[in-house]
Amino acid sequence: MASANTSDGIRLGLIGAGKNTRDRHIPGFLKVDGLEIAAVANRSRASSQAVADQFNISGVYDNWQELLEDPSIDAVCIGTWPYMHRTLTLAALEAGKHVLCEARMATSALEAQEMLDASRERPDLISQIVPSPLTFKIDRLLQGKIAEGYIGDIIGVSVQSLGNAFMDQGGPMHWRNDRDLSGFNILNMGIWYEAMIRWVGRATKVTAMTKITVNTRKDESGESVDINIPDHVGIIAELANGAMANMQFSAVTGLSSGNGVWIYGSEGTLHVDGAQNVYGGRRGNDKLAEIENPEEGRAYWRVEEEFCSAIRGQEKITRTPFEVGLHYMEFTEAVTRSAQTGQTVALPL
Amino acid sequence: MENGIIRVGLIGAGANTRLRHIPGLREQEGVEIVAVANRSRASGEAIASEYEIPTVYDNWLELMESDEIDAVCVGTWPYMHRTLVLAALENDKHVLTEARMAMDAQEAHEMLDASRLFPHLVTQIVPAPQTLQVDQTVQEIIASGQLGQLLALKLRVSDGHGRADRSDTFMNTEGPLHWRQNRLLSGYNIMGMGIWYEALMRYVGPATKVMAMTRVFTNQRKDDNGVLQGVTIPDHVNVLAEFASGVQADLSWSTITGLQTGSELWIFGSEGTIKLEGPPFDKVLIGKPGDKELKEHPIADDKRGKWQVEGDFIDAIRGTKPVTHTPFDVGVQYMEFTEAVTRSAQTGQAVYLPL
Repeated sequence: MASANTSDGIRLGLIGAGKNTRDRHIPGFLKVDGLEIAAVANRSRASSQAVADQFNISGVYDNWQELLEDPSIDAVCIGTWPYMHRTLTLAALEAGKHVLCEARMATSALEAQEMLDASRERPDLISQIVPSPLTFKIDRLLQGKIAEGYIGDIIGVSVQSLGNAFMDQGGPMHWRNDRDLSGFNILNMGIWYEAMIRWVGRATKVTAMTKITVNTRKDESGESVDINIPDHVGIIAELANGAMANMQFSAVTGLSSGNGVWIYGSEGTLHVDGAQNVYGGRRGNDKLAEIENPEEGRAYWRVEEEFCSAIRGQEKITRTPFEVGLHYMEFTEAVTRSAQTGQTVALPL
Repeated sequence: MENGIIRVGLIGAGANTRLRHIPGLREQEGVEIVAVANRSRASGEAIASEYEIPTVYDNWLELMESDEIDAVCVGTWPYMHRTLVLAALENDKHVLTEARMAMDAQEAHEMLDASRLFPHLVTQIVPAPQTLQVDQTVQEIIASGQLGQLLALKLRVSDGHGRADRSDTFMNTEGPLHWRQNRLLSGYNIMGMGIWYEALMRYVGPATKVMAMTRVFTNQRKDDNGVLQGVTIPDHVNVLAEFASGVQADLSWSTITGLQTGSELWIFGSEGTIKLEGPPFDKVLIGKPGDKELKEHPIADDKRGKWQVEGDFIDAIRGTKPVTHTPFDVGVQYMEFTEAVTRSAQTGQAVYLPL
């Protein structure tokens, strides 16, 4: 049932109903006219039933295969951890269903490529990834300032996302610490990179060093597990626009200065602080000054609305199409490849 | 040495020699600045009359051949450091050379090797001065274990080297070719990278692996004759490094970071964090688990280091103190790091230290 048009209702199935699905996607979908959350398949029937009860969802499936076999479902929202995104996306497209897939897109660049390829075989279906929402508040302001020439040519970019807590040796295992579930994704590198490329475009060369400081954690059963996803990452990159970038991500930088972005141009500088206030200054100014960021100009969370409008043929996916996802997964993989080999990795892979 | 008087000759008398070394040497008892050789006789004479130096030589060779000079202070640009240091040692003179030590790691090794052939002569490099006020305090904090296991380091330097107006930190495409932008004079040295690495080594020891990317944004400048020259020394440098102590570092130097005037250094440990900022780098901020923010760590006055290289040089000649700021073997380490940055940026590959 792929041909929902404006007048048709959309029957949506949820595969995986974790926190982001319950907190964001379900409320988002409930606001869309003519959309019904018709079914859910979570990790167990019991957990599916709990979600169904909470949100008044009529269909509960034992597993995702059964949900995808239901011909009355038009579209699926995949809310699992990254390790299932490729499998579920390919199966959903094969079953003729539109797909909204949670971020990060996949566990590796290869999986992302397979997902993009599969989406191109079904141009009649919408394929979308949940966008990085981190910087919605400032994306348009930065894009606008850069486009109007406020900073001239972009020459240097610096992004830091440093945790504030000290090292936590032996702490609990999170799925983000588990390579089997998260693949090449590290910390919040992917969502920051996806945000960064909205302002300054893509990287063409990546050099990285990573470190695993906390090398064992306790899993749910209390057993010690070896960790092989880094908790401290340094990246330097060349961008297609000729700029140089550096990025730092860490979970071991106690009392750090947190998050921050600096974009240096030939004629001006933009700075975003940890609270996403934006500051700017141009040649001749003696310091950076805050730039007004009117609420009405800001982007906002509307991924469920965008998905449904796209299904109805009313818009094209911009946040975030699979092509962009493939690029950030290539960047993500390049970081690990560079750290592993001690060599700069050129993009695209 | 005659009657306990140490007679010093100056080779190259640029800004740092005039502003720091001449006054510094004059403060020492039993030291006379007896001769100068600069790039030309005329410039040598100008210095001699301004600073009342009795003898002017046409060139450094003549100065070196004088039996009435015990020690030389080499104040030229890096391209002459190796040649002059080797000549000074061969002529039985103690030598204090301006930083950066040399053009490249090979030259630095030759200088270190030569110094070892003359164990009775003092060999010293002018040290990285920017963090002298806080070095001892930072070293003590780290040595006492207050930071726990050292994990990470971040250094960001907004570098004013080569600028007439250091307050304007935007890209300056118009300025003339500065000697620091001239590879023939500066070799592998880039901006203030070497002095910062020298300072970092005092805290976290030497690096073992370097990956770098560099960029020359302003790739042509006019030389003294008004002729456009290609520039190959970067004005923007990003370095990732692993240190023997386990630290992973993110280091950046740039002359293009407009309205980013200050520089900052963070050292992150498992049990504590230190931050330095400046210039001036005269305070140590520290935080530990449970703290809400970094706090200033008090520094006793007698723990604040200061510029004293001329006194150190003279003390070393008199045999009262060994050279600590900065001996040639440390210079070799920072020149190896300096060369590794360029090698890594050229090849896109990690370079492992020591070379």
